[in-house]
Amino acid sequence: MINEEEIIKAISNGNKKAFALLYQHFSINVYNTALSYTKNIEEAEEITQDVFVKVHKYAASFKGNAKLSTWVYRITVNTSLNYLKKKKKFTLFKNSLSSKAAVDFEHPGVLLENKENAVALYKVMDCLPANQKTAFILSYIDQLPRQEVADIMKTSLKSVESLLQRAKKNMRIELEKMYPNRRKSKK
Amino acid sequence: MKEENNKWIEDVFQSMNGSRKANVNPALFAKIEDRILASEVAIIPAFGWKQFAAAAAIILALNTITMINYNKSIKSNDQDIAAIESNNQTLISTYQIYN
Repeated sequence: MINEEEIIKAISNGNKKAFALLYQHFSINVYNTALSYTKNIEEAEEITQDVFVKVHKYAASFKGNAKLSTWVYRITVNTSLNYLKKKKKFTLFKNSLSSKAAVDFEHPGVLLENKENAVALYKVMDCLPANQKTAFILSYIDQLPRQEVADIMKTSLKSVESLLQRAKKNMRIELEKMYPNRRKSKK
Repeated sequence: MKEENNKWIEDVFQSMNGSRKANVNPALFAKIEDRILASEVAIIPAFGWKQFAAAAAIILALNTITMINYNKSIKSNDQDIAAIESNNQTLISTYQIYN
């Protein structure tokens, strides 16, 4: 268990070991959250780099009002969403075929028996607006407690529950469209 | 069929249960350190930018003054040339070489 106050103070003083320790502690979560947003390894690595560069740059401004993990997750979520926004603007001018090639994302860590369903999950998540997608990723993929999700999103527990309900409703609509094709492929 | 559909949808929502986290590329930390170092080295002092802006403003002002003066000199040259030509005409008309 790292002492958050000490580590952040050390980083803001330029302590490289402290920064390495923070990276060791949070990199896997940052990377996996970014991966859930981008569904692309290179892009997730890019975002991870951006997040830790920001953490290093703004360490001095961390006041300790929230947990360190909450602060790092917030930077991760915002960086990921901004990345997707920029990418969306850019792909409007690109050939649509090249963007369709990236749709079927297979998460490297999913259990074998859940692989097909996980592919469907990542596919339908694309239909969600930013806040519903964030609530869903943090709750169902990162498996964070609901209160922590609320803290990261700077909202109430009730709002998070409402976002999740709407997210599942929207995803259900998309999954129901997919279901007839699934039945045909199983035969 | 509706029940089967609903069960499948629930299975999809829960499909990431029990999954392990994806591993981070071990080379990533070095890249982050390089980026931090590069950003620390690349800071250009504001003083330098102010000097550059001041120099650009002076050059622009000098160029403007030069252009204005150049235009004035062209006009006065034109007047001089016209005066010289009219004198030349007088000279030519009054000077007969092989008289």
